Amino acid sequence: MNRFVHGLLALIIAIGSMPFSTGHAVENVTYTFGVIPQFDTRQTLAIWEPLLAELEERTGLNFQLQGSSNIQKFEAAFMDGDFDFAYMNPYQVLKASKSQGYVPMVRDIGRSLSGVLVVRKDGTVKDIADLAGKQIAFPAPNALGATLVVRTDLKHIYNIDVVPVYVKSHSSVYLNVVMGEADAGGGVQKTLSQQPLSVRGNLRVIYKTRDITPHPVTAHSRVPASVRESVRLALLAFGESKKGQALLSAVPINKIGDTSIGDYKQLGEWGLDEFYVSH
Amino acid sequence: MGIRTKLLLPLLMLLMVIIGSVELFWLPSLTAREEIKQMKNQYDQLGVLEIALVDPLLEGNLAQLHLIIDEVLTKHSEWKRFSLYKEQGGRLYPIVELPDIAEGEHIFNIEHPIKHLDATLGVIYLTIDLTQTFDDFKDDLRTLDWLLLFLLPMVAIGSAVLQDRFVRRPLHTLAGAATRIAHGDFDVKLPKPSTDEVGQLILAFDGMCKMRNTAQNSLEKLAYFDMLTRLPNRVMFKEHLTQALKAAEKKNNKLSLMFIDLDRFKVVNDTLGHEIGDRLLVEAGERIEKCIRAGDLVARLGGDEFTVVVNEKKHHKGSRIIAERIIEALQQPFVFGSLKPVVSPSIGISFYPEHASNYGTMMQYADTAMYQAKAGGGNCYSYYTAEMGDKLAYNMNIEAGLRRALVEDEFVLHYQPKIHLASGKIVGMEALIRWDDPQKGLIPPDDFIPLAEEAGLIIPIGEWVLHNACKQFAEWGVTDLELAINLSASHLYDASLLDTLKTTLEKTNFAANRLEIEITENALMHDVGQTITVLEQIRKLGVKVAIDDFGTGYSSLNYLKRFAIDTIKIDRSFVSDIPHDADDVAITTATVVMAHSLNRRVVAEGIETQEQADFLNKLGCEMGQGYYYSKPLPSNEIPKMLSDNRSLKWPKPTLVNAKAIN
Repeated sequence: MNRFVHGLLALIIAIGSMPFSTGHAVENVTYTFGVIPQFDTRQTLAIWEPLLAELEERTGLNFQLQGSSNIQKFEAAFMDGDFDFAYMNPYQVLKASKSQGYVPMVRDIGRSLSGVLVVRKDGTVKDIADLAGKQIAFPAPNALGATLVVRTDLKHIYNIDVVPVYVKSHSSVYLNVVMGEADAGGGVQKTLSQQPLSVRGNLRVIYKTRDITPHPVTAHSRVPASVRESVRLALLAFGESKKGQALLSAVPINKIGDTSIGDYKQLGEWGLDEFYVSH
Repeated sequence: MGIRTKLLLPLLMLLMVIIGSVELFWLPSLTAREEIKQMKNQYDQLGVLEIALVDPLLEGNLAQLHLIIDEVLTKHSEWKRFSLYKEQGGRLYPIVELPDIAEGEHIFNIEHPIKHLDATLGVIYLTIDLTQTFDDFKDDLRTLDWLLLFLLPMVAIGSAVLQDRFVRRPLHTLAGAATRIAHGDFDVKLPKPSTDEVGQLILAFDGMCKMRNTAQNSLEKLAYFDMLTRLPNRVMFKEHLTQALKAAEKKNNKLSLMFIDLDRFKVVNDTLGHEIGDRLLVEAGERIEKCIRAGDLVARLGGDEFTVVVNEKKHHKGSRIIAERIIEALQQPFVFGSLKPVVSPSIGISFYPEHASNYGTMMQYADTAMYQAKAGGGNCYSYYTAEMGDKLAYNMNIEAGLRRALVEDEFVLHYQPKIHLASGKIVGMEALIRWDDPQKGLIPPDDFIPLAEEAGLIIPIGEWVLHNACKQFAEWGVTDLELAINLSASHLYDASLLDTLKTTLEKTNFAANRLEIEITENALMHDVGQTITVLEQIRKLGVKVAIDDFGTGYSSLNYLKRFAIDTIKIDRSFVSDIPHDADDVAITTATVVMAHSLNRRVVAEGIETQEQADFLNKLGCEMGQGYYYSKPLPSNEIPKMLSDNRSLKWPKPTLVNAKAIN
C-alpha cells in the first residue's frame, strides 16, 4: 500500500514540475514581490511572509519577497521595474505607469489612507504654527501620504516651510519624533496605528490630511495576464476566509477589493509634483 | 612514628598542596581569566553591533536602529541596560530609559562611542551584568572542585591502602619476625617475597636467618668444645655422661668414669711458662685420646683436669686397661724444643652402677679416687672405695692443715745419718720432714708433700726445712757433718732459691760447703737449661748438689755431665737385691764407676744388710744410708746417735722393721 502511495506521489510531483502550456506561466518561475518598507524589515517580513506563503499555496506560484530597510532604495528598484509584483505607493505607481506599466490589482477598499503629522505628546509643539522652520521627519521624499500630501498641505494650506529629514521608514519617523530627533513627523494613519504602544502612546497627531486611496498590490505588465489574474483572484479570495482576512489586516488591508489605475489618477491633480523627487 | 604514618604523610602533604594550590591559585586564576575572556567577548559583540548601527545612524533610520538593537539585546541577556545617545546628548535608544543598575561584583558599565570616519555617530552606554555567566562558570568550577576534593582523597585512600598492603604489611610482618628471632625464637613465618625491594629485603632477611642459624650451630659447637685442646668441654662432657648413664641403664650395661689430673702440672706451668703448659695440655689430650676406644669420650674439664667416660658391658676390665695405657702414654716426656717437661697422671675411677648412678655422685667419687691416687704419689690409678670418702675429706683437710702447720709450727724434722762405708763413721745427715698433726699424729711426707706441691706450699715448707735443719745443726754444735736437704723441682726453679740459701746460711751461721741439696733426677730434667744455670749458681755459693733416686728418672748421661752436681745417690731399688741380682749388681757397679769417673761422689740408699754394705764398700761406693745403720730419728735422739757412732757402737747388724716411712 505504501509503495503505491509513494509511487503516486512521485508521479504527481514529476508531473507537477513539468512545464505545461495551458496559458499559465511556467510553474518553476519565481516572481519577485516587492513590499514598500513602511516599517522596519522585521515587521515587513512578519506581515508579508505568511501572506505570500498563503498566496503561493493558493496560486501554486512561487514568490520571493523583496524589500529594503530604505524606502528610497525601494523606490529606485520599483522605478527600475525590479519587481514582478509590488505593494507600492500609488503616486509612484502613477509615475511609473509610463515607464514600467505596473497594473494595480487589488487594494483596501474598506478604508482610506490619510497622511498624519505627529508630534511628541509632551513636546513643545502645540499646533502646526509652531512647526515653521522646524525639522520634520518624513519616511522618504516621495512617500505619498506621509511626505507629499503632508508637505503640500503644510505649504499650501498653512503656508509653512519646514526642514524635511528623510529617515527611511514610517517607523523611523515615529521613533525620531518620540526620541526628540525631530519636532514632528509625517506618516500615515495606517502605519501609525501599527506602531507599538511605546511609540504610539508618546505621539499626538496634530494634522490629518484628506483621504488618499490606499496602496494597491500591483503587477508588472510583463507578468503574464493569466498569472496576474490568478494572483488577483487569489488575493481577493483572501477576503473570503478568516485566515486570509487576518493575514491582510496585518498589512493593513481591512477589506480587499479590486482596483485600477483609474482610482489613482486624481492624485496627479493635487500638485504633489512640487515635492516629488525624480530619480 | 610508624611506617604507615611515614607513608601517609607525604601523600597527605601532596594532597594538601594540590588542593591548596587549586583552591588558592588555580581556581581564582581561572576565574580571573574567565572574566577577562568574557569581557573581551562582550567588547567583540559590541564591535559587531557598532558596525551594524553605522548605516541606520547615518540615515537617521531609528526604526532599523531599534530593530538591530532589540535583536542583539535578545541575544544578550547579560546586557542589562542599553542606551544609545547622540554625541551631543540626545537619546536614540531606548524609547524609555531603563533604571540604573546597582553596582555589583560582575556588573560593568561600558561607554562605547560609535565612530565612522572620525565622526562619532553616537555613544553606547551599556551595563553588562556577567553575574549569571560567572555563576554558571563558577558552578562548573565548583563541580570540578568538588570532583577534585572527592576524587583526590579517594585516590589518596586507594594509594594508602595499596601502600599498606604492599609495603607496610610485609615490613610489619618482617619486623615482628625479626624481633622474635632476636629473642631466639626461630619459628617465624616470613611474608612471601614480592619482586620489589621489599621482597629483596625479605629474601635477604631469610638468608641472614639461615646464616644466623648456621652461626648459632657453630657457636653451639664451640660451646661444647674446649678451645685449647679441641676436646669436648665440661658442658658436652656432662651431657655425654648423663646420656651414657641413661643408655647404660636402659641396656643394663656398665660404665666407668675416669678423673685424670696431671701431677705437678702447676710446676711446669709456673716454671716453663703458660705457652709450654698449654702445648703440654694439648699433647696430653691427644695422647689420652689415643688410649680410648670408639664410643668412649675424653674431655677436658679445665686446667690440667681431664675426664674419660668408658662404656663397658659386664665388667670394668676396660677401665683398667685404659688407665694403664694412659699412664704409659703420659709418662713419655713431652718435648718442646730443648724443654722436656715431665708430668704424670693421677687417675681416679668410679663405676656405674656399683658406686653411683648419677652424674654428680660419679664425678665426686672419681674425684675422690683421683686425690687418692695423687696422695699415693701420683702416676697411678685408683678405684674409688668407700673408705676414700673419708680419705678425701682427709686430703681436703691436709691442705688446710698444711697451711696451719706452717703457721703453727707442726712440722718436725727427723734425721737419717749418712755413713762413710769404709770407716763406718757418720759423715752427714739427711733431714726428713714429718708433720706432727695434733689430731692425726705424725704424718709421713708421702702423705702430704705431693699435696703441698699441688697447693703451692712446697716452697715455704722447703724454706722451713732448710732453716730449721741448719739451726738444729747449730744447736747441736755439729760443725763437721754435712746436712742434706731434699728440695723439689719447685725449689730448683724458684727465683728466690739462691737468696733463700744465702740468707739462711748467713742467719744460721752454717758453712755453705757442708750443705747439700738433694734433688730427684726427674726434677732436674724439667728444664735442663735452667737446671744447669741454677746448679752453677748453687755451686758458686759453695753448696753441694746431690741427684736423688738416681736411675729411676729419665736423665740422659749427656746432661748428667753438664749438671754441676757433686753426689749421685743410687736409688734403693737397685740396692735392695744386691749382691744377688745380677742386673742390680751391674747397674750399681756401673753407676759407681761412672760417678767416680765423672768425679762425683756416690751414696747408696736403702742399705739394709751387712752384705749390701760390704758389697758396696768393695765397689768403692763412699757413703750409704739405710735402716741397717739407722732409721730417721727425731732431733732429740740425734746426739746419742752421734756419740754412739763415735764410740763405734755402730753399725748395727740387724734390720730394723721398717714402716712406710722414708
